[in-house]
Amino acid sequence: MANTRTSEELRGESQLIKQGAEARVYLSQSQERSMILKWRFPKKYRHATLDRSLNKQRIQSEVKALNRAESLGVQVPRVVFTDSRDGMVAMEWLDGYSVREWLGSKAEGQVKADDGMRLDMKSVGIDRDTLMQLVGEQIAVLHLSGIIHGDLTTSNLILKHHPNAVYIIDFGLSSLKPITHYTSAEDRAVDLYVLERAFGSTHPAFEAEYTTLLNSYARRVGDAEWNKVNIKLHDVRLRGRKKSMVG
Amino acid sequence: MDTSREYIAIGLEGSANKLGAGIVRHNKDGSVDVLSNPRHTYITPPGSGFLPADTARHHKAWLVKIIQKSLFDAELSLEDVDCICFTKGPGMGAPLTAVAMVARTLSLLYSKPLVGVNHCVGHIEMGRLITGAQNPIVLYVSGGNTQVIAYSQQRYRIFGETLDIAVGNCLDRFARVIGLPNDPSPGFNIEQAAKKGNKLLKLPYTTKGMDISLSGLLTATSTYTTKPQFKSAAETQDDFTKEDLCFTLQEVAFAMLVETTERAMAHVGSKEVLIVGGVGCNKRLQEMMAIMAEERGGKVFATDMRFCIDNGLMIAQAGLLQHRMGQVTPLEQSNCKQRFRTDEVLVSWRSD
Repeated sequence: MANTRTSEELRGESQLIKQGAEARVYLSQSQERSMILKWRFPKKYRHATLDRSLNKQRIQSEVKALNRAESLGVQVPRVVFTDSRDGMVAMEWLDGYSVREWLGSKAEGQVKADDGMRLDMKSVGIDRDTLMQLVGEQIAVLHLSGIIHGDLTTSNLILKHHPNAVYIIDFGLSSLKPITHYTSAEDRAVDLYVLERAFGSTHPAFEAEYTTLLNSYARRVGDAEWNKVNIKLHDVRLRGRKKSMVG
Repeated sequence: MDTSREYIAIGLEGSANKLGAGIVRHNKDGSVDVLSNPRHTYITPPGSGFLPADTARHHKAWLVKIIQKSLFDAELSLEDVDCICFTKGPGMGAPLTAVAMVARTLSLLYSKPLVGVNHCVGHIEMGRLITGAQNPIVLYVSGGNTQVIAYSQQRYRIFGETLDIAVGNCLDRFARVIGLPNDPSPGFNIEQAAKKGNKLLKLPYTTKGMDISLSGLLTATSTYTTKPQFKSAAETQDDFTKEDLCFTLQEVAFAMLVETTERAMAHVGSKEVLIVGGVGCNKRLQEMMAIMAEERGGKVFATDMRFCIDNGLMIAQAGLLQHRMGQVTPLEQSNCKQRFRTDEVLVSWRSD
């Protein structure tokens, strides 16, 4: 289907829906099914050689991680095709809002999505606790598949409906571990800590919800694994970034 | 805030090797005047850094002179100020306490309230004042700190930061490795050398979400200086010079900073970036940030050497904002904190 068009032509027929940190994201509806086009455009601020090698490396890790995740039952968007020379990955379109949008930044009141839509948990039959449980469980499944995300934030978690399910996106900074050597507790702890920090800074009123998330993660990975991760998580919290230095 | 009269504050800063005293005035109409901002820097010989005890000795020797100059430039006496602000932390212990002691003494002598200020918050408030940026993502880059910060619900929240050494520390230490002078600052000399370099060597690039790691970068750059291809002038294609290393180090380290800043911008949906801290005067960093911001339809705000390098005025400005919200630091709580997180401070003067 898409083979007859170049990546550039496809983007031309699509709608730019978001400029993320790494890429421009387009919604393509000109083909049989809707797709997301994630285009890592050349970043002019950094040296061209550095930019090329980073983009190449990240596309590779993203596609690898997405493929492994999908084959092992993690909820991620399916890869439709990759054009690594152009820096573009086409993925299945997930119709839903991010967990960041659903949580909003305030404890009270209605939440508005980035596109101005008013979001109401009741209307989709979910509550905050259930949402946090879904998130914790999905991250557990991801880690059990030997995948470290590298950039877990609430922006990178999408809630899809009918039935409600949390999908994980943005694998540009991910890394894979052989599944036989179950991903090290340290890596998993750092992954969770990145999310914990994102919670603390983006949703300061919801630190309790983060506990629900961790509990659900712990249940899914089982006591033995959770104990290992939990000890590391404790170490990570006390490490470098918590401390202030001179300046 | 009470706007029926004007307010004046003096701020004393000496958390690292820069010693400063600045005076700020908040006018009735809401405008702010910078009345004075002298500074004196403790400069060590090439190849050496500044040690806490020596730095404290420098501050003790110079602080009274700097305060007198500050008052002279502003044409004021200490009777005229509303409060005496000092850096409570973060910073090096001995230099911090040397300055705090003088602040306490002046507070008692002139019966003026003391206000302890978080150094990082000082940088942010100074940057906002000088540039007029309203609610930017802040990249705070200096010898001791590397943080990506955004304001939310009365706190400056840290979204990303270095996992190990600060970017200024990384640059300063590399300057020492290749013997660049510390005058006016090692970072400035790296910047000048980098302008003459053009070869990009391979270095580790470590971003973890919105955090970065720089210690491996320093090690890798330093290791290049032990290679036989490292020469004072390149003779063959494989050779590289210290200018090339400075160029590469800046390109890679700054790319990591700009990338994490962009992540934070995308995450919170902000269009403004403010760069503060000593490394913030680096023109190449400002240029890279401006290109990134432009690609996002945003804008970058930066200040020059007078304000982005540690100074007394930033402490006066943040301290006066605190003081006008009723905050006073009692004498018995006027100790210094070497580790004092940016997000520990209640930003009571902002309500947005």
